[in-house]
Parts: sequence; C-alpha cells; structure tokens
Amino acid sequence: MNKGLLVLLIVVFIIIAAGGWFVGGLNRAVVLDENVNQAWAQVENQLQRRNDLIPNLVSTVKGYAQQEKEIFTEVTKLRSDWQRAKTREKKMEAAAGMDNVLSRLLLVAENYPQLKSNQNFLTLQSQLEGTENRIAVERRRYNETVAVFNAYRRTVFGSLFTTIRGINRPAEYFAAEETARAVPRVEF
Amino acid sequence: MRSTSKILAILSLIILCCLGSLDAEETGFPSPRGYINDFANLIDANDYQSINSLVMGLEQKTTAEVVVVTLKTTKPYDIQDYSVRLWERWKIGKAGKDNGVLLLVAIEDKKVWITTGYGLEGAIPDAQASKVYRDIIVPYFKKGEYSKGILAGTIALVDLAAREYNVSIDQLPALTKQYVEPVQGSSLAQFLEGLFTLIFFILFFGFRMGLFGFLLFGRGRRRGGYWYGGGLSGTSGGFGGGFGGFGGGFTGGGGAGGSW
Repeated sequence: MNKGLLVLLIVVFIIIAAGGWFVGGLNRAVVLDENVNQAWAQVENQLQRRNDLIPNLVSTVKGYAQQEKEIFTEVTKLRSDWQRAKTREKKMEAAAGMDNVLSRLLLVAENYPQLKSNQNFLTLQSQLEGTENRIAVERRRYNETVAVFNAYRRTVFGSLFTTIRGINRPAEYFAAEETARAVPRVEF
Repeated sequence: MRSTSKILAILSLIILCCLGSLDAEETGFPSPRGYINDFANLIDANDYQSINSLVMGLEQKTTAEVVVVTLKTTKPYDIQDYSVRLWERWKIGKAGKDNGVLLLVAIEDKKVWITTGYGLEGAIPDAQASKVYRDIIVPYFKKGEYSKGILAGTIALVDLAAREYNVSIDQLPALTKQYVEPVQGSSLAQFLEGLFTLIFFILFFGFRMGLFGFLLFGRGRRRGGYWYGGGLSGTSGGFGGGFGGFGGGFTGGGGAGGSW
C-alpha cells in the first residue's frame, strides 16, 4: 500500500476529528449558556406570578389593617422595582427584597384575627404558598444549570470556547435567603 | 486480537463501575418498582390491588400516571423538595404532556405530599391537592389506617385526573363511595350535621322529660327515640374525627401536603 496515501488519510481523519471536537465544544458552550437562560426564564415566570398576586393580597390586608401604611408603601415600591428591573442581577435583588417584605406582611397579618379568617386572604395565602414552592424548585434548577455552565467555563478548553462565543462570564447564582424560605411557613 | 478484546472488556467494566458509582452517589433515591412503590410496607394486599387497577385503568385511558410512594423518611430533604428530586429522577408523566401525579408518604416524618406535573396543574390545582391531603388522607392517617388513607387519596386523585380527561374508570364510583365519601364533606355540611344532631338530641330528651309528668304510658317508646338520637350523635362523632384533621394538617404548611 502507498505509504503517502496512508499518511494523508490519517491527517485528514485527524483534521476532521479535531474540527468535530472544536465545533462540538463551541456548541456545548452555547447550549449550556442557553440552558441557564431558559432556567432563568422559568424562575422569572414564577416570580412574575407572585408579583401578580400582590395587588390582591395588599388590598385584602389593607381592608383590615389600614394603619400598617409603612409596609404597604414598601410592597408597592418593591413591586414597581421588580417591573422596572431589566437585568438579571436587578431582578434577583428586587425578588430578594420582595421575599423579605412579604414575610413581614404575613407576620403583620398574624395580628389581625379577622383577617386570618377572611376567605379571600386564605385563598391568596395558599396561592402564595404554591408560588413560593414553585419558585424554590425553579430556583434550584436554575442554580444547577449555573453550576454546570460555570464549571465548563473554567475548564481549559471550555474557557477557550466560551471566550470565542463571547459568553465567558460567570452566570450568577440565585441564592435563597433564609427569610424567603420562611414565607410559606406561616402558621395559624 | 485477543488482547484487544480483553482491553475492551476491561474498559467497559471500568465504565460500568463509574456509572455504578454515579448511581450509588444518589443514596436515598430508590429505583421505581411501578406505579405503587411501597418501600415502607404500608399498603395491604387488597388495597394494593384496588390502587393498582385504578392507576392502570387511568393510564390506559388517559396516559396520565398516578404514582404512589411510601418511605420511612425523606431526610435530609424536606418532603416537598424530595418529591421534586425523586420526580426528576423518575420522570413521572408522559413526555410533552407532563401528566403525572406523585403521592408521597414518609411514615417516620409523619408527612405526606402530593406533587402534580405541569400538565395536571389545571386538573389538580394546589387548593384541590390540599383538600385531598387534608380532608381525605389525614382523617384516615390520624386513625392509623395508612393503607386506607393512601387508597382513598389515590381514588380522589384518579377521580380528579379522570374528570379532566372526561373518562370513566371501572370501580372508581364504587370505591369513591366506599372510601372517599365517608370522610369527605364540606365544613358547612359537618356543621349542619352537628347542629341537626344537637337539635334532635335536645328535642328527644326534652320531649321525654316533658312527657314524664303527663304520660307514664309512652315512656318505653320515648326511650327508643332517645337511643335513636344517641346513635345519630355517634355518627357525627365520626365526622368530628375527620374535622379534627383540619387543625393537624395546617401545621405542616405547603400548598399540597404536610404532616398528619
């Protein structure tokens, strides 16, 4: 057999394999990045759902506890903060603030027995609990995709590929605050 | 050639071991046995048969998957967290339809949680799931009847799913009548029942007392009436047990489950 041909074949094979590996790496970078975005969209959905519950919740609580003005102003402010937030970081910040103020709002409700037995309030509260549970799940999934992406970004070739695609920056974890976890735990 | 195949065999063995160790890392997450995974041995043979025929019937007619799991404990996870993680491993429900339901009981934690797939959130919203937990499962669990509680809860969940798809499942109406209806009932119905019993009781008692002076004659008959009243109040006692579950269920919190 012709030795030159054999060498040529091997070289071509190596080039194809290297090219495939290169393209695969580039694609992997994009796929991982997109997974993070997708997971974040799910988080945002649930946060939005919570935000949509808030006007109803506030007006119900207001009917029984007009004097708690301070907390209502704060809720309204945070709600508009959320709506104005454009970047992921800002949204996380607004959501964390909301976690905090909502748990305080529910604590305030504890002081009003009539409010606690209001059917509308109970429904809103159970919806809020359901939403908080869903937020917790989506938040965990988001953080898992962030972990995968960030780890890839730090591998030798991963860092090369993410740089080529212009996505070589760490994705941000969405840390759960202790107060957030306390929200669904209001007892009667 | 022989050495190549040997190397290949060793390599695949190593890979298998790696996969095995990956699996072993996930301790606390068992592999599914089927629709019913009674790891804590709570379900009687008879109830097992009933549950099995219901969930199989539902799956055949609608493709929806209702899965029952019993465990000793979900530690170190919270039961709701564990349910979701288990779901992620088992992938309950059909792809694209996400039409699964998971009923998880952790006997030592005294916790029960109903988890719904995206596709069944409409059929079983949190409020409904919470009702199944609080009004159907907890009354049985409080009496220590775990097998019957799981059966009744499954019946209710299958019923909700079957309604969504507009199909009827064999045995479902009969089982509902037998296991779900006795514990179910709105708080208003229970209140009225209690009130009714009280009025009955007072009426009979008062009637009897009042008549003593005038008609010694009717004493025996009245006595019968009195006992009848007592019987009714006994029935109401059973309902009272169910209602007691209300208070206990609330402590666990969460939209669709908790402790008993």
